[in-house]
Amino acid sequence: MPNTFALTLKAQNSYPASSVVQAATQQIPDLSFSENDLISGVFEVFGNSTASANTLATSGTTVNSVLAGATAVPLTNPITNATLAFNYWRGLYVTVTRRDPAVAPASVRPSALSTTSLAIEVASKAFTVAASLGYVANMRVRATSAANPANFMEGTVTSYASTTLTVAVDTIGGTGTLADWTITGLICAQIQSNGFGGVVTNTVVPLPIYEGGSFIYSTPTGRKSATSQTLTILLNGTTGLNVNVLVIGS
Amino acid sequence: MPSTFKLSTILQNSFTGSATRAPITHSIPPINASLTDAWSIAAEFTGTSNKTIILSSGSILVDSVAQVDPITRATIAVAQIKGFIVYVARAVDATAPTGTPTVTCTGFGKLTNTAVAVPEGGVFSLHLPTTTAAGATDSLVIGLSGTTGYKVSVVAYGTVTPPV
Repeated sequence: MPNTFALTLKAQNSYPASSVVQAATQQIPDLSFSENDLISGVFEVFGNSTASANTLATSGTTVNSVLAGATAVPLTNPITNATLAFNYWRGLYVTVTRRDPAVAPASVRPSALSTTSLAIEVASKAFTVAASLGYVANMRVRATSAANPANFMEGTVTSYASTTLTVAVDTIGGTGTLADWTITGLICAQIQSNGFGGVVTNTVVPLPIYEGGSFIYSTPTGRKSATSQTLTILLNGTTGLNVNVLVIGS
Repeated sequence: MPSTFKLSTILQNSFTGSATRAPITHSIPPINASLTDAWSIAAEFTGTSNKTIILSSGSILVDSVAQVDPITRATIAVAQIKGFIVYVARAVDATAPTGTPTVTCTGFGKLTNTAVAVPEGGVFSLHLPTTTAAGATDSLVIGLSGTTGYKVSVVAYGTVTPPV
């Protein structure tokens, strides 16, 4: 029996103000394929992981998983326990779900205040905050104006030393130079790939994926894998989320 | 009735030589989003030149054409991009395609990536149920330059309400 894969995608608009008009449905054709030589590996990340990253990385044709700095473990066939040999990428699927339905995800740094006067712009920004807070590198944060939440800057923490919090801002809202910031740790996972799964993401800004989110890349025509290709999964500062990674190859 | 978006995957491995064991099923959690203030666009691209979906002053342009609500005909106002799906197929009646389409995002749905090849039958998708404000010039480029014989389907969706 061959290995099978199916993907169904559908978007439906219903426009609340247009009750006399049928909903508009936009659907991508269903994707399915079935092959004998497909292999897959599953990797699951959870916890806080403030100290070290979670990775999937190639070494030759082997994919090694490293969970929060632990020892590298090769992905294996769950039946034969043989090490899987990935020569080609066929798909990368990442979803982020709540780990325990009864426990809401949270950030280790819910909020902090800063009165540093800063212009809203996409750039590196240094906020003066209290010392010894829970900020860690690679945590995603948003600085919001207390007077008007529409004015904000969002990005990734690059460093936190003493009372200086430096953020690589990549997303902004509003304009102006303000000094009434509330800085909140965002509850999300982040991923970064340097070719793992056939995808290369931004080397500076990891892709944030929030609860219920997903990233999917499917390539029926295999992409040749190479050694040292790495998928990094960051949960820095976020608790209560599960990052589910499914990699398909041949 | 809110707008709905669904996405599900399933992979079943049967590992040759393991006849005595049942196939193993991997299924990533299905995605079901329901947005009360959603917009969405759909586009099909063919041809041999690159196609761009880009934000400009809060509206969304597909190949330089501002997109409108298919029912109200009002220009779509993009506050957030919640996701997109790109699917590559062979164009109708086309002979064997040549080249490979690519997808490049610059801030689109918060994703910035170098061009990723998406061959015939391939999917490139991002779903962000709780994201942040869209950037002023976020873009998604379908690279068809140097290719022939493809049809690239794109669905993108989001909300008209800024994040709070």
